[in-house]
Amino acid sequence: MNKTGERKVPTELGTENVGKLLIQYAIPAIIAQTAASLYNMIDSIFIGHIPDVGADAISGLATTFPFMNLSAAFGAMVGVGGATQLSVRLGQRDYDSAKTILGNLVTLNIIVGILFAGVSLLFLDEILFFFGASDTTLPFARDFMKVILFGNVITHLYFGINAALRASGHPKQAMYATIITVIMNIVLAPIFIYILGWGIKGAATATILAQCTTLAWQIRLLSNPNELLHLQRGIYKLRKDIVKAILSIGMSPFFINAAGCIVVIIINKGLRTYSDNGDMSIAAYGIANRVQFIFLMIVLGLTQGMQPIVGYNYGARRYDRVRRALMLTIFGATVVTTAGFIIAEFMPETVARAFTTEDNLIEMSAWAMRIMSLVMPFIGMQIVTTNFFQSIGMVKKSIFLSLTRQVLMLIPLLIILPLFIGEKGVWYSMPVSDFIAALLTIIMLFIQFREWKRDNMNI
Amino acid sequence: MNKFVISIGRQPGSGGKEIAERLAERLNIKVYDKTLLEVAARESGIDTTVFEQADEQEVSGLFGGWFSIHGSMGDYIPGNNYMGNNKLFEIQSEAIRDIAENESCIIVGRCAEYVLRDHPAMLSVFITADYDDRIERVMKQEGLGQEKAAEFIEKSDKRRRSYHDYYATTRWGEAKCYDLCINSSRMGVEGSVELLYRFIKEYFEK
Repeated sequence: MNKTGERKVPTELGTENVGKLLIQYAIPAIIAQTAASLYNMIDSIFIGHIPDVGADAISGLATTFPFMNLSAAFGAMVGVGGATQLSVRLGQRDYDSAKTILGNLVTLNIIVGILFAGVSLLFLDEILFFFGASDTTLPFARDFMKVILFGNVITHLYFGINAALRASGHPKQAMYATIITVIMNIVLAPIFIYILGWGIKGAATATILAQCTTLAWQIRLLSNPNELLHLQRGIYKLRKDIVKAILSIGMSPFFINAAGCIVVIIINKGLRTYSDNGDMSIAAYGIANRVQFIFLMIVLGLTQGMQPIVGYNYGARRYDRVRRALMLTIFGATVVTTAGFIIAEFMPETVARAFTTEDNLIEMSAWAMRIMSLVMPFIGMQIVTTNFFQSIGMVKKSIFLSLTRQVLMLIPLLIILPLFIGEKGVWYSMPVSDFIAALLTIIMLFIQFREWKRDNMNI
Repeated sequence: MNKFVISIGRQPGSGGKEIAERLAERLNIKVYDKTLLEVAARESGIDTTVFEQADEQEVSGLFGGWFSIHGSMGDYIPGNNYMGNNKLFEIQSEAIRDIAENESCIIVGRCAEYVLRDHPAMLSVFITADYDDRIERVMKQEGLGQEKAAEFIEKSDKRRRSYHDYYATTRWGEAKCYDLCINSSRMGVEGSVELLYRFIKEYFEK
């Protein structure tokens, strides 16, 4: 909103040392992403250490991941759509429209949050079975999900308002909100789970309570009448044009999240069908996935730091700087994913022990991690290049590459490979799909470089 | 007359651009369309090619690179792309306001009627034409056959509408969002220019 402040950003992007810029822009994003991955791991870690429960609870929890994805899909639809519209209006200093969008975002979050929770609670067991639960693991999944679903509106509001804060010129507060929630969750979870003896329900309660507290703080921040944009009377009534605008923008984040949900369902189904011990395999996948997740989220943070640098310099035709930013980011990302690779291949048991105390599950998770991370060193480059294409406006290439790794290659492989080699087929689908995607990415980047060379653009 | 600004929105093939140019000639003021982008570009030190890329393109796949990882839930952090279309529109709007503040002018397209909604002396115009006339004009201007021209019109209509309605709170081509809507098939290009000229003179001299 500050005119001079915003104008200042692009010039430094064109002149300052690229490496320095990358660090400056990437660090806040990496912190945010790490916080997000912690957020998704805390429950897994604490639940894994409940005495006498172990593997079944972890497996039950793993079947709730696609559920969380689906809820996030609906939340993101409203949150991303609303925040994007909000930032366009604020860019135009159209505060009247911005206010109404903020109000509509809140109302929509509440409606969608309640509807999602209501339908889910009604068919809870059916959905969990569909997502890969068994008679043994269902009670744990149900206990956990019930609490999460009762707090679903809070979750959607918390994420939605955080997106609104970020869009309305308070990115720092949004980051604090994320970090505070994570810390509160870490503090509350062991109290509820172990001391009060609430078990898996305690983990869910801690999550919701942490969000609830942060939400109260967010609402207080946004209620400050001295701010041009604040929560006030008369902005909450849904307006057809605004709802339409929000939902049409929100469609793509919705589908991305929904695709994530479908992939996990297919993996869980595959493991249930082909494994001798489906519950154990699903639990192992849950753990291995969480571990990979941290490294990929750090890479994602790094690419978010790269985007403005590449975008600006590409526009300003400073191709030497574009190239340098891309190469530095690929290098950094490769270091991160290679570190993940080394940990997953050489000390997976140590990592698995953080998530469970049960020997069988430790062994199985370690095995899963070794397979899932086989081509991990190349994934860093894959993710960076995908986002690179987006930063320079080649959105279609970016979507294509992003889908390749996680959907286009993965889903057919998940269905076909197990037909020949059984359970192993499910596991190997992941590195094989990663490998093909990495190869495709290198080829596309290579072709792009050649095209640029032909056009005398020295990227 | 004091400083004023006319924003002209138009259907593809309606002759709106020609009308804008001739009207500017009559009023002895400048008309900004593509050149507008270049001014904006120069002002912010960004190469104009970026702007041409974003030239009223359909807004799609905004979150194409937004990346989900299986079984995760987290903050919605879209890639903050400074050269993203939103930022471009912001820079462009800034340029439009700067220009409108400094001189009388005509601005074609770019949601100018929304961008300049707080301008004290702005008239907004939308120009349409009968479908057959639009086809004919597009065939001549773009050197296309009838079928291709129809396709061209359909696509450009869609593109302009989605661009406009994404960035503006007003609706593209909806009568209530403009001060004056003209069907150029009724009075022709010359007639429409004459009509607008008299309308502007009368309105601003009063």
